[in-house]
Amino acid sequence: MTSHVDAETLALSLEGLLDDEEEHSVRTHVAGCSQCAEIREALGEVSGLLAEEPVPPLPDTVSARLDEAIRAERQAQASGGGTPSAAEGDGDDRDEREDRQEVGPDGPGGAVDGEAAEELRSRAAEVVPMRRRGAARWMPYIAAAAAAVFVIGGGAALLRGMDGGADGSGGVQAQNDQPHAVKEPAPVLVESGTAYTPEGLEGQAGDVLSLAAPELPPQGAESDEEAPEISALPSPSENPSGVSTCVEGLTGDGERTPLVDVATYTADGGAAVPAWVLYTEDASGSYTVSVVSPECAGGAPEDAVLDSASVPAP
Amino acid sequence: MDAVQELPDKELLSRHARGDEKAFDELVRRHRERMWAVAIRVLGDPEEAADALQDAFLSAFRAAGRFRGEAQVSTWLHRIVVNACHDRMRRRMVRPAVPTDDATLDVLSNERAKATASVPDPAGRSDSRMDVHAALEQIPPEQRLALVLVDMMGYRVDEAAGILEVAPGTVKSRCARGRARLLPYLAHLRNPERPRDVTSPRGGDGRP
Repeated sequence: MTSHVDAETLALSLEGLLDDEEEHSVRTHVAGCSQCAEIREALGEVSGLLAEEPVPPLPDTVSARLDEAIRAERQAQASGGGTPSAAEGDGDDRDEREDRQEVGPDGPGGAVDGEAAEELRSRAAEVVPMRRRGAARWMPYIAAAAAAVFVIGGGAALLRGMDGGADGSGGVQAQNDQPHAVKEPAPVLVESGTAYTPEGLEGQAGDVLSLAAPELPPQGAESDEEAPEISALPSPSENPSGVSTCVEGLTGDGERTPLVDVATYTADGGAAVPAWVLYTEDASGSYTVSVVSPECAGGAPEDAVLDSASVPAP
Repeated sequence: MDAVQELPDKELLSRHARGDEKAFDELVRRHRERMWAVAIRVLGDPEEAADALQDAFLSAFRAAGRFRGEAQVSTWLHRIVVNACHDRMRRRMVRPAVPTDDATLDVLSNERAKATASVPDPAGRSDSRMDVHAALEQIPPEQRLALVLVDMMGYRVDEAAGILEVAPGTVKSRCARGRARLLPYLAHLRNPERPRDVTSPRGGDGRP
């Protein structure tokens, strides 16, 4: 009897995304395992549950608001100012964002055309928030780079301010500035050399985890305990900044992220991009592996997640 | 009636770009219901969905001149709405105290169910919508978007891929991973009498 198949693999199998060998072993196992068969059946029902969700109809007030917003925009354009149509705002921070949006005379790029799409794919930004796109296509990259420098610089300054520069471990421990943060030991950083891929993620993560797990600190270890090195895996030649921000943002209550692999990730049909692979352990000991872009350090960790997988306890 | 109602989307968009005031109003009228459906499913919250919808249509209004006609107008509009929702999801992530554990999830869905108790539920399961949305909040935005388009809206994988600008295989794997992640949250909604055919029609509302 082969070991149980996790839900994600079963879901990928249902979508026909496993290679022949994997598919065969999944089928063989499921044929003789009522537990996995039941999970597979339940997975098959998820689409139906989602499809059955009723959609609340478009409220008339929202239709009216749309008309009004467009009317205001038209007036603003007619008066030649290209002024943001913030008049209809409801007190949130839309005004500020629309100011930002109005970079060029004809506003932000809502549409992403072919060549821009190429650019975007090449940096593996899968759904690109349009707010970042200014009048010229290269603007966002410069802005993003500037933001990253700012954050990293800020983090480093904070580190020096707090620790007098004595801490030589780079950015990892630099940003414990969130008051609510649970004090966990900083994650161990490794550079396994793995080139993570969507299809291989789970297996690759399993391999890295099985090498690292024996040397990871146990759950509930003291926060000031020094993070060990993993003898089976090399440490990164250079510790990237901002990993801890990212880890904090993506580690839920009752979870911890004891291991981060500094690696690359190649999306379907894309180029390899730098990625941090976070190994987050829940209370039961199984791991969620999140592949994140280093943009994560910029403060929107959930958004930087390129891929994820579940890996059973090693 | 005005002739704009007879015109195809692309013609409306180019008329709008040339300054025809009626053209864009017609586009809004034509697409707002569907765009609302995307936004409310992705965001769950009517206020946020309304904001996203407004952001999106204003963006489309301003960007129409750069529409190149390679995609369907509908795909283009979907992309703008998805981006507007994505933007809002990201901003929501940086707000404090996003509940993640099951206990909070229950409290949350109960509260939301109460808040909307007066809204009749065509499916006859008054708490299911809130349960599903609370569950969708638990999975990564990319997976949620893929599931909204494919499973909830009923779009074909290639249509969703066009909207999200990723390969069809990526849409499939996001859907698969998203379903696996949703499973624990949805297990209690499972109906033993539900047909077991995985490939049965998804009951979505058509194409983009």
